[in-house]
Amino acid sequence: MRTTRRDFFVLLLGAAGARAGLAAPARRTVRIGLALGEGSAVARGATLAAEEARRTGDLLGVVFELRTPGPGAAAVVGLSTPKNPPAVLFLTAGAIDGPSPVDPRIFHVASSPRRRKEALARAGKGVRVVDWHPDLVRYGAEQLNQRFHQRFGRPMDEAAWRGWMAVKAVAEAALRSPGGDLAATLATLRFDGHKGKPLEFDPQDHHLRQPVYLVDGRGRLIGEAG
Amino acid sequence: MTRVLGLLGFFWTLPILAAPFAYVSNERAGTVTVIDTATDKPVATLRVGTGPRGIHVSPDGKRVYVALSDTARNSQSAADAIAVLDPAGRRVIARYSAGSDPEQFAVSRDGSRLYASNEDAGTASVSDLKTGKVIAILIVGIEPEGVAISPDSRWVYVTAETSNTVSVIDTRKNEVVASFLVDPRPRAAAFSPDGKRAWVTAEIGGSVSIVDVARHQVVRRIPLPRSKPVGVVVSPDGKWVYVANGHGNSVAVIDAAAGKVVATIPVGKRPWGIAVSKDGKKVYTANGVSNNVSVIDTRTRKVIATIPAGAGAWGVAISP
Repeated sequence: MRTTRRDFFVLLLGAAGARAGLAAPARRTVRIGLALGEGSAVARGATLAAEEARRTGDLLGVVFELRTPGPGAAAVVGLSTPKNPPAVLFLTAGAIDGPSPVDPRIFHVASSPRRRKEALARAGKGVRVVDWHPDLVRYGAEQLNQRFHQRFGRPMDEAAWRGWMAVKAVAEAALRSPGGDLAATLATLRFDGHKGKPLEFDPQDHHLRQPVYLVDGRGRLIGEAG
Repeated sequence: MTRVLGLLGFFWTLPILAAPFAYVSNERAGTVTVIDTATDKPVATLRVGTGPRGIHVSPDGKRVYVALSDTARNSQSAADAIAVLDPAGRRVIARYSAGSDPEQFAVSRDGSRLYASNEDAGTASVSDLKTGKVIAILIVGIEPEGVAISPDSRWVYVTAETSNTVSVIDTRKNEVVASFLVDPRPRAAAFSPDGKRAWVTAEIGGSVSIVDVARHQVVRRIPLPRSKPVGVVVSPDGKWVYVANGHGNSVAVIDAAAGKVVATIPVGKRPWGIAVSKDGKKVYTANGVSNNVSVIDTRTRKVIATIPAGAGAWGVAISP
């Protein structure tokens, strides 16, 4: 089952799963606004997560719609922190290089600048810190990298993973807190990002606590910074 | 039966001994280690093919099934199969198709059906063990992994690592009739002997969920601190649940009635597969990093033997 480009902004309920006979829950719809450049790596990651959320929702009686931000959106995924306080849950899927305002409705999928600086301090010259790498294998990372490559014909880089993680985090919060406050759920949610540890948002700065990885000057994966 | 194997190599180190035996799949070695549970010594090693993982003994003890998969993900090849071992002759006698990259599976009580998870395809395959043919392919969660069948063979639970779901297959219809959410990265499931409860491990969630099978709903969640639960098995009397803690390098013992962890037993490195002897007196874990098997005395809750296995020891099954 492959989602076409046309399905990018509005994902419709598939047929599979509708047969569920035992305790089939009433279907509800979760709309996620996407403020990302179409065709960008981060948007591709978000698309993959949305397709996977749709498959999961299909099994569990939830319809996920991914569309441009607007009325009815339960959450918005964007690249950078909004200038004004958001009306709904807002996740940034881009890099945050400097201090960002702590808002109960804003969460950052990227590792914090402080975390990256600490990891870099322990590394040698010419080393970069990334949140993801297409050569990661353990903890299901290989399977995620392969799903992305199979879907888009290119490796899953850091930006793509952030887009994927942002939508997956929102979708998981929606599944685990039906009808509840998504921001409040996300603030305490522990979830899987294929990094071998439960991931969660830091209550202090709302950046995602996560293992980060070291790459050399040629972009090769050389280690994990824990 | 798709193909009788005559090409694979077999080698045995000792003559056949009395049952019961424990069979250990060694993923990286491509072998199955046979252990005499009376002596807890390895008695044979059998080459079976690429990447053996899931392993089960048929209810009558006359066959051992091993899931094999090729090294290439997202593709199906002749290396993807269920190998059938004849325990008496100690040789591979057949290979069944079970979809792409079969990993874990379960066999119905009458030995007629085999249900396998196909991780990369996001499906579960139902195979007819008389013909060796796949008779149904069902859409389940994303990255399906653990497969368990209820004692009456009515329900098959398939866990899925990425969607954090369990899909319920009604074996009378060969359809997915329900799905429910569990903790992050569910890896395996096991039913209680009376079929009323199921236990589902979650590696990243660090927990075990107790499921009411009548409703297919989670009724309770048991946290297992500092562990990464993977394999799970229930004692024959239903009183104890044993959880292999993976990178936690231990086995948790849960009082099934109380739903409480009563002991944590250090074992080898990264126990994955876990099995309990038919008399409930011993538990065996396949330790994938230390390449061995730990044997636990369930009365003293101590490791009483450590048995060498092959590289990447993954699953373990015990004959009746």
